[in-house]
Amino acid sequence: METLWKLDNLGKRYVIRSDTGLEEITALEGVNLDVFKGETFGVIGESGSGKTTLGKAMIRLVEPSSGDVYFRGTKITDLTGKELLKARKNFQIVFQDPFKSLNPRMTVGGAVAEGIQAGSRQEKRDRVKGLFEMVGISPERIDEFPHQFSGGEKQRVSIARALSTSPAFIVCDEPTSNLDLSIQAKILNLLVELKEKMGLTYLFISHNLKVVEFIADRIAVMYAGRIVEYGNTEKIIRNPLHPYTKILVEASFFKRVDSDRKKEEQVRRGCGFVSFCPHGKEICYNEKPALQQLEEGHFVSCFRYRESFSGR
Amino acid sequence: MEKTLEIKNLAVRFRETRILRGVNFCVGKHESLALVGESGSGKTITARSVMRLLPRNMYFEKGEVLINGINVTELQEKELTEIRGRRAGMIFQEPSSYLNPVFTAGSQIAEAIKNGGNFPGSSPLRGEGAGATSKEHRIAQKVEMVRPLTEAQSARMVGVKGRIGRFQRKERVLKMLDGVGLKENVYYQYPHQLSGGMQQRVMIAMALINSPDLLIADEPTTALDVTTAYGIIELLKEMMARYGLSLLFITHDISLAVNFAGRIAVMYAGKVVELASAKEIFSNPLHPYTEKLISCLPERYRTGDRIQVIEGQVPDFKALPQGCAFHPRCPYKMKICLLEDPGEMRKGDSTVRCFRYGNVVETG
Repeated sequence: METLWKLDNLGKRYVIRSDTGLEEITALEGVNLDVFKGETFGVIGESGSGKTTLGKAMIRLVEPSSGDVYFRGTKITDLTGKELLKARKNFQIVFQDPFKSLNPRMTVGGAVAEGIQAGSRQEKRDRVKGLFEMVGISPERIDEFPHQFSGGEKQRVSIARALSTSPAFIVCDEPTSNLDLSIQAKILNLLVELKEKMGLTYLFISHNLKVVEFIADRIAVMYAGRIVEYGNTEKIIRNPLHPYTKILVEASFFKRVDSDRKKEEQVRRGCGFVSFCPHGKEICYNEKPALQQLEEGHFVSCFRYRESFSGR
Repeated sequence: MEKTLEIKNLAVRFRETRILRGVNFCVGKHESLALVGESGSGKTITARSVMRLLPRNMYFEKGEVLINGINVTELQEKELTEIRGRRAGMIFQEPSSYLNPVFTAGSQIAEAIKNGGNFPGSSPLRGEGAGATSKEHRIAQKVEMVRPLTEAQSARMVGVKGRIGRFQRKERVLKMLDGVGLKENVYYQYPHQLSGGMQQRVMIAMALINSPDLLIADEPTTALDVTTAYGIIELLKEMMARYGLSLLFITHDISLAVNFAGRIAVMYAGKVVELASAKEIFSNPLHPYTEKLISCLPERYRTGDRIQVIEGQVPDFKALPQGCAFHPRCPYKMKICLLEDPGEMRKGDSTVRCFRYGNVVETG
């Protein structure tokens, strides 16, 4: 399998102003990941776990504060100016809220045409029409404005816009979480179809485990800016090893959740999950667990996964 | 079965357009009923009708909404205050937009305490006229406030005699906060200091502080994370059991409804097209729309499969198709579906509007 992306110790810290002066917040920490060509890689976690930051840092929509990103062997983190622009044609992003990600004053056709550089006006128009057809919107509607489209249709336009540069890779940042289940089904089908047709690779970010289970070949589970577990989708859902993954799976499938999750302050030094963890020990408060491989393609970052496992 | 909420043939208009076209269902005492459907099917309008919170340009055309036997569609604005909060409480999808950012959570919950904190049975309204004005009397008679207190209610009473003081008020809010799983310090916190899940808990506390019989929850978990949403669902279950609440739960996620509600009403284009117990509806859906809604769930498919979708779109209320509103999207459509609107048919314990189960035509 060809490795498309290689993330090496990727991290992102934000500095924010607080009552006590400047404070540093770690949004992403020590992420090591490979994404293979042609796969759908799911990223799951709750709000604030760093999922979106991961997606954006990969394609340098936010500047990583540490670590390196390689795309097809090229170090993306070193690129500047024109080189970066050129590389960016290869990766696109579809955002969560289709209402906010389209300019209300621009026709939808215009928004999609922005990504197309070569060709005359007419050629561009034809290409946009082709893209619209591909995502299932009538090509006659390219001169309409975003407010004339429903949520699902706007998301289709966003997808057409992402496809306009013929990318190899698309970050899908919760593309269906604002949509009805019936519309969600259609968008998911479209994404699967496009992937097969065009050989795309996706990074699919979502907090909905059921959606990720359906679409992703592999999943990374994030908590407090770190990947706590990753591997083959089925292995993770059938056999979650990290206590957080376990809670997530149980909550998603309406099983009884056995941990009391009243929010305590997060532990800075140790494992980010320890204050909620039913199996926390002294070591969990003092050291950060590293990702370790347990079986073929199944990694977990937990000192006490054995206890978590036997507790099932 | 005692009915907490009964909606009879409710029709609501927006200018010339009918939004609700004859909604029928009831929520029994201690029961939870889920209202399921796509956006634009009329779920939220139904819920808002119960609270009389319709936008100004919408009005009741016909039908009744009975809360404990009181028809809310006929009440005056002033009389409604006896219903809102006391008889029925409501929580909404986005708690952040329903909380006032400049007041603390505690003060907002306390503000909701009605009538100086009197509980049903203790107010002069409900006495034999002691101190009550004739106007209050009129309301009391119409609303029939006299009812015996349950044990749970008396247990929650603080300062039965007359209005309660500031401290008792606060005590009650703190008790309520504890009940919804929040810490005492939330009383002094502002909405922006609370997470989405905590905000929703504050909303629940606010809705339940006057111990209503009915709680309406309009997509209470849609904006929340999976694990937080799970906590809210568990809390609602607990509250139902503790306070003997009846619950009207609105969601577009049929799998959530199945796991939570006793019965499910599926809405399409302003009508309830199927009403059955949650188990029945999931294992044996009668209406083609219900069947399609269930087949849309991604967890029913394997990676790489195609999800079976509902072709077409929710119809515009301004241009509803003739006959059954679902027929343009229906795989089983027959000749009659294009011409006549199906009426309610009973099949076992379920109610369904579809000509596949009989030939009842909707009249009126």
